[in-house]
Amino acid sequence: MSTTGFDADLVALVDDFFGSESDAAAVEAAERTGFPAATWAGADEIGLPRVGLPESLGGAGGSLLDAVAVLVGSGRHAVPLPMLESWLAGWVLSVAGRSLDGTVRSFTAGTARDSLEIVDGRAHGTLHRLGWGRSASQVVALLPSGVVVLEVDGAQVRERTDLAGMPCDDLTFSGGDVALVDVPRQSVLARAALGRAAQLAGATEAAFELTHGYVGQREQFGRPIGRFQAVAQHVVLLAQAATTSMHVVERAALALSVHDAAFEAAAAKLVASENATIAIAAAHQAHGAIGMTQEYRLQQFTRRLMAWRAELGSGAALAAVLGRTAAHADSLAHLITDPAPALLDIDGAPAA
Amino acid sequence: MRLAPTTLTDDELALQADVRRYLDERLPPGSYPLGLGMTGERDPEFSRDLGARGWLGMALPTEYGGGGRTAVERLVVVEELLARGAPLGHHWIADRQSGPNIAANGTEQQKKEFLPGIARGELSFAIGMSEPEAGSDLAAVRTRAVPDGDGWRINGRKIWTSGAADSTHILTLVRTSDDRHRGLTQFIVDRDTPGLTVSPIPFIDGTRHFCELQFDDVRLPDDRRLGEVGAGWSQNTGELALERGGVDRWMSLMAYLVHWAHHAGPAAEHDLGTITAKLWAFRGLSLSVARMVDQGLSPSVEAALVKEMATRFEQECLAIVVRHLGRTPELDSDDPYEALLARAVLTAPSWTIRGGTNEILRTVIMKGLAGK
Repeated sequence: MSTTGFDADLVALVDDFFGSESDAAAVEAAERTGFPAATWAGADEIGLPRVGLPESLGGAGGSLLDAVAVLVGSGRHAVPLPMLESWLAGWVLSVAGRSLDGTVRSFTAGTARDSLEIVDGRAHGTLHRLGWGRSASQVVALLPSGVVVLEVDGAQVRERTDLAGMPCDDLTFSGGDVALVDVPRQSVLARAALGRAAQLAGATEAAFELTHGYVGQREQFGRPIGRFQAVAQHVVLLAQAATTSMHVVERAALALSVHDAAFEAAAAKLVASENATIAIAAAHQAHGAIGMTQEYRLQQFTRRLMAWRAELGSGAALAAVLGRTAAHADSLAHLITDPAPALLDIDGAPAA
Repeated sequence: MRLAPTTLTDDELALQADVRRYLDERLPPGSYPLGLGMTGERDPEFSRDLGARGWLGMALPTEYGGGGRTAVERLVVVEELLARGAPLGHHWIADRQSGPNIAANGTEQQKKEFLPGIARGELSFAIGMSEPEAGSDLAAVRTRAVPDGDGWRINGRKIWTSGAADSTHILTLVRTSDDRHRGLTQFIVDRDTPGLTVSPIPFIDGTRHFCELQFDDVRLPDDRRLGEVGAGWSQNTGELALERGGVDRWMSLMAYLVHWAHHAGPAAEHDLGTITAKLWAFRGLSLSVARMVDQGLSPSVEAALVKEMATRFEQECLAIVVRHLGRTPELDSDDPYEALLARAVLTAPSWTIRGGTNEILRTVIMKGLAGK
């Protein structure tokens, strides 16, 4: 038996650092001015973007569970840094045996619109929706042909933003360096889904805490609005969403630490995404008008939930593969109690 | 609020494999009437067979015939039964609730008298709590026990008691003084005690398991009192915590879902996938609650949080599978799964009521959150 989870000291350290470096004003400033280089340098100095990656290659050491704890913290504080992108790219590079440094890296699992081709060992064409693409020096991309590492130098950047106002750029390559790395797509996709789920869980928890606090203070009709059962119900929904998302993320991280947990990663992401939708509605409804303004912090969390829930594993794609998996399992009841359930295929590709 | 993930040990997985092997032989498909989770049919012989294998009263102390095992081991057995819609009605309440309550609060004599029979699957309990004027507001119960010689005399009426007509015993909560919470005491009443009349209240699906209990000068010796005089409310609250976080709160429809997964077809793929992910999540939450119980914690708020959303999820699942059926399921269908689905349609509104309504649970959760 193991009843374990995130390392409490690490969680406290992450909360401390992001709590002071990524408060409401810092997130708002990043939205206006872009990449907060000083904050990134500070995070990198204590190794946060490289947690869970091997020290021998320049990582900060620690486990996969530790890396996921950092990502939860980045969601909890709406951190305006490429924490997930850098970790995913760094993990791919480390599996390929490449050394890491404090470089900013972006990551994409690919979009249907991408036109990138590799001709004579050179990259040509466009990758869309690269988180922090404008600030990155390298991009790790999952192409239908395999996992590649691209050098950004010389690429043309079309600056765009996601729903949370964070950089999410299109990069057009015309002859840049590209290298194919031998890392299984499934493994990358599982980590991408889990990492995004971790951020969703963190932001969901933040939305819960903010709302729980607000309804205890805000008075209408002469009493705190949380005393009205109709309002309290929103808080209960948020508590359920936060508790469940955190549970499935921790559980999938533990599973991925010991086996190829594509099923758990997919299920965790699907559950965290569904909970994000519940949390967005409940948090805003409980807050009323103030929650719809940019001067109040709720939107820094809910806009991230809106942006992230369909990314790196959309509800439709994950539901389809989990549904096929369940239909082919010997028993649905056995599948959900299996210590290591097998997923048919996480991205629609034929199972190996 | 945190529900830490946990995994099954090798021993627990071995138990799971044992149970599966046994049930595959003992309950081949078609050999038994399918049930909706915890409201499965009554089959005393099946209950005795489980008892003989050590799979009832698992967490009860060994000196009273129990297994001396854990809440997690019980969960491992129970989820296999629920997934098959097994006929567990005879032993369900005694195994889940009354046995642990007697083990925790009973006298030496009571433990010797009741626990071995519960662990053997011979005794069947019902829980007499609600009254006409005391449903969710349980502390309003009026059925009263007054001292009478060496014992007690009970008068009053209990309603909405599941399974009382077919049980051997009823564990009831009655008033022994006017103090709202500290004036309540639990008693163990033999089903055939003179003065106790049990009448069925036909349930929405036409079944007759729901009962009314009329107490007319029911005389009980003092050794039928469970726990201290006035301790009934806190004992009852502890009992509810045991009851609420279990796998039974999201497995009412499981026998149907297991069947449906193989027959749903491509059009239902997305819905099946979403249901699969949520079942996987709820299983983890229930396992986490059970592990906390084994660690000596009392996760009553966590259990309420899980039950409130798990029961809503069960109802959502039902709406989805009925939509995919594309017509009204028939109660008298020759297909036992369709008939099961029809019964689910009729009884599903009860899933968010029994064992504490969702409205009451939300209040419990809010109070718990305030204390965090």
